[in-house]
Amino acid sequence: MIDRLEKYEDWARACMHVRCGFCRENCPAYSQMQLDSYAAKGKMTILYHLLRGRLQLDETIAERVFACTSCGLCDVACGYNQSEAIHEMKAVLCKQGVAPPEGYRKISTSTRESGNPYSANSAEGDTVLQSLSESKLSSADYTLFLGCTQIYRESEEIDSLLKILRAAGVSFRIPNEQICCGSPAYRVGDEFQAFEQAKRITTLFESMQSDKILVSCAGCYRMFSNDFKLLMNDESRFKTTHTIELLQELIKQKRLKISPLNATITYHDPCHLGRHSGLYDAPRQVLSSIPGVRLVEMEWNRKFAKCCGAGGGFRAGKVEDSIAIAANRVQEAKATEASILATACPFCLRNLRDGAASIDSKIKIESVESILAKLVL
Amino acid sequence: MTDLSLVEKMLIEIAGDRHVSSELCDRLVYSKDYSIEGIADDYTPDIIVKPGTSDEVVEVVKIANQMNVPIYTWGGGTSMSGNPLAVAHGIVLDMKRLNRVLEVDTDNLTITAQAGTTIEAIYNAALDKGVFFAHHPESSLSSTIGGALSCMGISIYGAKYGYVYDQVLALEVIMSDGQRIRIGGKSYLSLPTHNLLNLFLGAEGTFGIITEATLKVYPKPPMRDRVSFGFSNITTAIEACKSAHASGCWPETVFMFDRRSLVQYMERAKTPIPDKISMAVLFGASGSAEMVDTTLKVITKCSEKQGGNRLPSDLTQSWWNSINIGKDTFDQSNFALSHTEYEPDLVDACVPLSKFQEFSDFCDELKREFGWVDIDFGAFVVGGPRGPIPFCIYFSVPVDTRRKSEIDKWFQFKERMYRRALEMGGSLSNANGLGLRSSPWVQDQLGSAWNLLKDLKSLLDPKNILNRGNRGFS
Repeated sequence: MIDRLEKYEDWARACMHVRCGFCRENCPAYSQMQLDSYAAKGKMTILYHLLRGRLQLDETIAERVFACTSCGLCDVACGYNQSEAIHEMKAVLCKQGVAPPEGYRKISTSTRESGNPYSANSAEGDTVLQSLSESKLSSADYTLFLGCTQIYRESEEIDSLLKILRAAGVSFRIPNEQICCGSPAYRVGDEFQAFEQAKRITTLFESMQSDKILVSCAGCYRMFSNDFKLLMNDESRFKTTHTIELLQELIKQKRLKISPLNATITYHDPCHLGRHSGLYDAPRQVLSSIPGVRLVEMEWNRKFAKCCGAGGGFRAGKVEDSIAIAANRVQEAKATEASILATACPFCLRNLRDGAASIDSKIKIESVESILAKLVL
Repeated sequence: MTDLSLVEKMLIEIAGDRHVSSELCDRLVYSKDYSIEGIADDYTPDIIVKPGTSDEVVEVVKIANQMNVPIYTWGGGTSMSGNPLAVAHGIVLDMKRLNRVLEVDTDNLTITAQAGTTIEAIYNAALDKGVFFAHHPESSLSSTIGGALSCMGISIYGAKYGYVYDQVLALEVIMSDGQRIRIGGKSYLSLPTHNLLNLFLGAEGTFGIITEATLKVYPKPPMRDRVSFGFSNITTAIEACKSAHASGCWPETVFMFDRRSLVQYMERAKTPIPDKISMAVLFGASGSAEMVDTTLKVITKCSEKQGGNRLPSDLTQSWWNSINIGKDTFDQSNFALSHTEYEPDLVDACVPLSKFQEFSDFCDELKREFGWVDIDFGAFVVGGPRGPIPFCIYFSVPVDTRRKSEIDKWFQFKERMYRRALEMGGSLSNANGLGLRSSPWVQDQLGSAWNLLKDLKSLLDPKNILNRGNRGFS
């Protein structure tokens, strides 16, 4: 199984040699865990010595490797895609049955057992979906896919989103079955379950004859638009649009009437949406189009944006460290003197709110959709 | 036999269990720096400790003394000469938690920072207050000020502002017995007697552990700009530099790369390099618009007089971007972009200015003899700290470390290069630190002065716990 990592040996050796450390200083996991082995450079060194036989896969190594938010800021610094190699290390550890720390493991077992990472009763998720009128439609321009975090943890976000789409007259329908996209399981290396989820999702969309999928969760978006083709070893059979992209278009077409908001807003780029998918301008344009809004940037933004700390299962695996990372990001937002910290990912939203609470910050943390929903006439 | 588990337990009591590890996967990360030394031999430390205060550093040193365990002080790990490698294993003292800028004093033009602060953090803290910190190596984002003061390194602004040593006004140092001393102060002449700072600057932690530094900052230049020129060889390029100096030019950046090095630095930007360029020089000037304009005009005149051809502005810009790495530009670094077929190491020996061309020709000849012909790295010449006149030349040599025979060849190659440099009246250079790579020839070069150095080491570190076995010391 370790053979699978051999393709990275040259990279790992090169990284171990150069030791520029640019990945380390910006790594959210390293910022909390402090030993160099937690940064991408450290993980690549571990990879090299695993391949050379000096290290063996064990729980200590799993603890180091899984402590990664998958944010990909290391990739920006490095000429190599280090986060991909770290992801594959997680997958190998998972397949080898080397147990990651419990929090990460729970994401995998919960998804296997209950179909979602929160161990929620999926029948309740189905009920939520079936209560929405758009789930009764047999055809529409878009199929709106709602993710587990929105359904089980951030349901008011669904209300905001539906209000906007309905106000703009968007033709969309909603599946009446709740299926996890598989992203949380995939990020903790459980490729088997992620593949199972991908198959179920694909079957669902095929049965609905949907080829235009709308998602507002950054994790689902990355999964559908990037990772499914890796998992399924096949080109995607549907086109995925993030709701932020659609909102940008709706505003451009003047299909939304928006009342003014006198506020200074800063935007946190979710890693899945920004660095991993290249969506930087759309959310900024949506926010800037609100009359009265002054958009300001944090010190680290766009491709350099710091992670909220929630990704890659890190929040489940190391909750206190994850919230501390979020608190640092909130501090950065506060330095802009913005009154609202906006984002476009339910994971970021939750973690940034917890981070703000941990430092008693009064900055409002809201999704772009929820800001807009309150202003749509 | 030292009871390492007891040492670890004692260190945990000082720094907390989160900041101490004896796990192999953590230790291996500290077993190698940029040089090939860490591939050629095993320098894996026994224990890592990462204290959060200088008081904790004092306690760590006391334990090392008590238990007779060597200490190897690490900063960002970007050293290029095997400087901090744990030759006798023992403790790696990771200083990166001592990472606070303590004061920016704009009235007195000083900045004070803990040793584990990254150079980029110091640079930005100065800029936030409207002043300029001038030591800026390519590794600024991750290298620490303590590491730079201990191992030197090149600054992109060195031609005007000098070495990193030249930036120092005061140091706090923890001695090998745990005693804390402070040398210097905020005024520019804070050294009443012998310059004791020089005992610790560039000493790679062998005489004491730097925990804090007060450094010079300067008024921020209102603007900067640059030009670059291609020359047919090193000699004409140096003549252009000398002519610029005679004309009164004082640029802040003088970087001279041969074609192979420039090709390597353009790897990420992919900016084309005109044919027929053998040596290229990047000149950067700062100051008022009038001063910058005049400086670059005079440099242009001096360069063209020596047959220099002005390089396209996009190449000049890409070159600057590739060496001016900071918080907003670290995605453009070629330092990060390594190679999978070979690892570069350096020959870091300084020869007299008039011998640069001869030494470079010798290096090329030797590479051919060793069969290293299809390689992309060459010579680097850097200006500073005497204005546009270059002060050092060093060579990058790519070695295929997958093959032991190639590693062995590298050691033979560098022996020949260093010996030749000494024969030419040159010296081991401290431009990128001395470390394991360059130290085998220290005794030869110092002659009887070596005994003085050894005596100093015995006096300052009687138990030989600081960087044991490195830098020529046993």
